[in-house]
Parts: sequence; C-alpha cells; structure tokens
Amino acid sequence: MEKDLSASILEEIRGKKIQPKSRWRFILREYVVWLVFFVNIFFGSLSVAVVLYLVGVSDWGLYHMLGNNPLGLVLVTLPYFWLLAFLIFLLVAYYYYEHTKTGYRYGFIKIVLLNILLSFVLGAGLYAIGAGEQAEIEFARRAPFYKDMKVRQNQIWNRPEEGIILGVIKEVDIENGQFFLKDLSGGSWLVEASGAKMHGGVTIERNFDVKVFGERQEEQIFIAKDIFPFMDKVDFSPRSVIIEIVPKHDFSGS
Amino acid sequence: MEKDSYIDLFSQKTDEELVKMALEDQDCFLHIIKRYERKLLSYIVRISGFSKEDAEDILQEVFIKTYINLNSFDDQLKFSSWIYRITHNEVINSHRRKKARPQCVLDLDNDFLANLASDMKTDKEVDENYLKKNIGEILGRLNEKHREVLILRFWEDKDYKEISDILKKPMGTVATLISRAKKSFQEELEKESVNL
Repeated sequence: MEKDLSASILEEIRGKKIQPKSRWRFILREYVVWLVFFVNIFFGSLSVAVVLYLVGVSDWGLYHMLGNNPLGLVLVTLPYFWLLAFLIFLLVAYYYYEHTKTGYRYGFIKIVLLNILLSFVLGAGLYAIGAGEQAEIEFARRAPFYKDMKVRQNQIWNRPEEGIILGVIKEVDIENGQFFLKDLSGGSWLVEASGAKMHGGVTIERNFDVKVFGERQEEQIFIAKDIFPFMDKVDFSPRSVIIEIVPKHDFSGS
Repeated sequence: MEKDSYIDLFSQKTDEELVKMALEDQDCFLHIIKRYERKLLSYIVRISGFSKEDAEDILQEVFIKTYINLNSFDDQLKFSSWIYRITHNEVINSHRRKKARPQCVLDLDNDFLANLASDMKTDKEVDENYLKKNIGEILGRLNEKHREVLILRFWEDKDYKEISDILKKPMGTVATLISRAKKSFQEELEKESVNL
C-alpha cells in the first residue's frame, strides 16, 4: 500500500506540475489580515473618541430640568450609533485577529478584552487631540441619515409646550433684548431674552446654537428664563444658511 | 548498503529539515510522505469511519495540500501538528462533500485502553475483550468533537499544546473539551453498566 500511495502522490504532483505556493503569498496574506485588524481597531478607537466627545458635550446637569423621567431621557440620548459602531469594529477585529497565525491560541474573551483595552487607550488619545469632535462633525456632514438621527435624538431639548427650545440664532435685536431663533423642527421663534440668565459662557450671536428654558407665551413667542450654549458642534442647519458675523451682545448686563 | 545509508540519512533528518529539502527538491517530499502516511491513514480512519479506500483518497489530498502549502509552514508549531491539522480539515471537508455524519470505526489497541482507563482513574479489572467491544461502541456514540479529542489525546498521544495547534483552539478550550469528553464517556459507560 505504502509504496503505491506515496508513488501515486508524487506522480500526481509531477503530472499536474503542482508547485508549492510562494512564501510571499503567505507573508502577504498575514500582513493583510493584521492590517485589517489594525484598521478595525483604529475605527473602533475613533468610535470611542466620538462617544467620549458626545458624553462630554451632553448637558448631564440639565437633564433634571426636563421634567418627568430624566433617566429615561438620558437613555434616549446615549450615542447608540457610535456604541454600535464600536461593537461592530470590535467583532470584526476579533475575527481577523483569530485568523492570524497564532490568534487561535488566546480565546474569545482574552482577545476581546485586549481589543477593548487597546481601543479605549487609543480612543482616549484621539479624543484628547480633538479627533472625536472632528469625526462627529464630518460624519454628520457627509451622512444625512446620521444628521436626521441626531435631530430626532435632540428633540428632547425642543419641546416648546414644555418650556424648552433648541435652535440656532438667526437675528439679534439688541435694543429690545430679543433674538430670533430657528428651532430644530424648523419653527421660528421670537425669544424675549432681557430677563434671562446666561449660563456656560453662552454667546448670543447669529448662527450660534442655544438651549432656551422658559415659557411659551403666544404663537412663536418665547419668554426665556435660562439660556445655555448647545455644545454639540454638529451643524443642524440646512446647507443654504448664509453666515453673517455680527458683534457679540452680552445680555447679562455685566 | 548505499541505498540503506541513503534512506537512513533521511530518517535522521528532522521534519523541519525535510521540509526545507522538499522545497528545494520535489523528490525529497517522498520522505515526508513515508514518515507520515501510516499514522495519518490510521488517524483518518479512526475519526472519520470512512473505508480504507476513501481514507486513502483523503490522505492523497492531504499530502497534495501539504506540498502546495509547504512554504506556509514555520517553526511556530510542530510539523506533525501542522500536518495533522491539514488532515483534520480535509476530513471535515470530505464529510461536508459527502454530507455524511462521521461514524466511528475503532480498532482499539491495549495502549489506548490503558491510557484512557488510567486517566479516568478506574481500577477494577475487567474482561479485556468485553471492554474493547463496549468502549468502541461507547466512543462511537460520543459526539465527533469529544471523540476526536479523546483519540488525539489517548491514541495519537498528543499533548494539550499539540491538540490546540491541530484543532486551532486555545489550550483552555482543549482542556475543557477533554474533560467534557471524559465525562461524556463515563456517562455512556454507566449506561452500559460497564465497570472499569
């Protein structure tokens, strides 16, 4: 048996002119697998950076002003999109790591924990240099679905009947202590700001985003009690807005 | 005499040395085939339950794939683990092609029985023929993962690292698999009311 089998194997190899695949193919394959692994770690880290940025600009201190069930509202506004993106990148990175030459030796939990640690460390670094903010702004600019999602998510800050509006300042009327605001839903408001408290270094200037707490008086008139800056730098306005710089006005009277 | 010396020369070479030689000279691959064909054929028959002819077909594929991928072998693992891994994968592929569940045909030897029985820490004496017959059936009833890992451990005498490299699973998983396989074997044994 042995003689026939080994002879027939060699015959087949010779007859079909079978050659070993070149070493470079395997080296290249291994490099590609590692490259894809690191690309996924990078994008996972970028997702972490965006999450850190969004958590940083969220007005955690203001949720209690939203009335019923602030915790429920917090849960609604968590950055699920980026958390999901991070999870996907993490799983893809795991898959490719496991397919490296020795990746199978370490088990799912060890590999995933290592990847999470790596992503968080790198993500914190990317956040520190502002990459999280830039990624968020750019993504919102290029992905209309994401911008729409953010608008929907931020509607919790735009409930005029409950005394909150979120929008962009369109015109400032210094003399009368008021400004015109276009809210997230596209509605226009005249905001009486002369009696309002200004918080967080808010700027009453055209094209600045603000959150206004107060009371709706009449159709499209809002009496402001507290005004906060809206920290998220994503541009919620339609692309056709013309930007015009006007002098800052300090409504606080200082 | 010369021919014998020539053959002896190759038999003294390590697997890694033979691989290097085979990459330079195709004919040297013959020595790798001769070194492993008997072992691998038995292994294929044990884990697959295929006939000898089908097993030889699979073995042929194994050696061809080994030759084609010879440049991918490096010293991060043993050559024997690497070629056993190719064999394991080829058996799985064959099962998929035939859409067959692996059946177990075991030709047990005393060493295997002694290894397994001793590892399970049993100490009663039994009728060896009766034992051989029933343990073969019991192993045949285990699921394929458990059966294969018991065969690798107690028959092929592979250590945990080698099994890890063959099956491409972490060593912890291999240890768990072996533990569960032994437990599963014990449960089947109790059903048969065979006391080792």
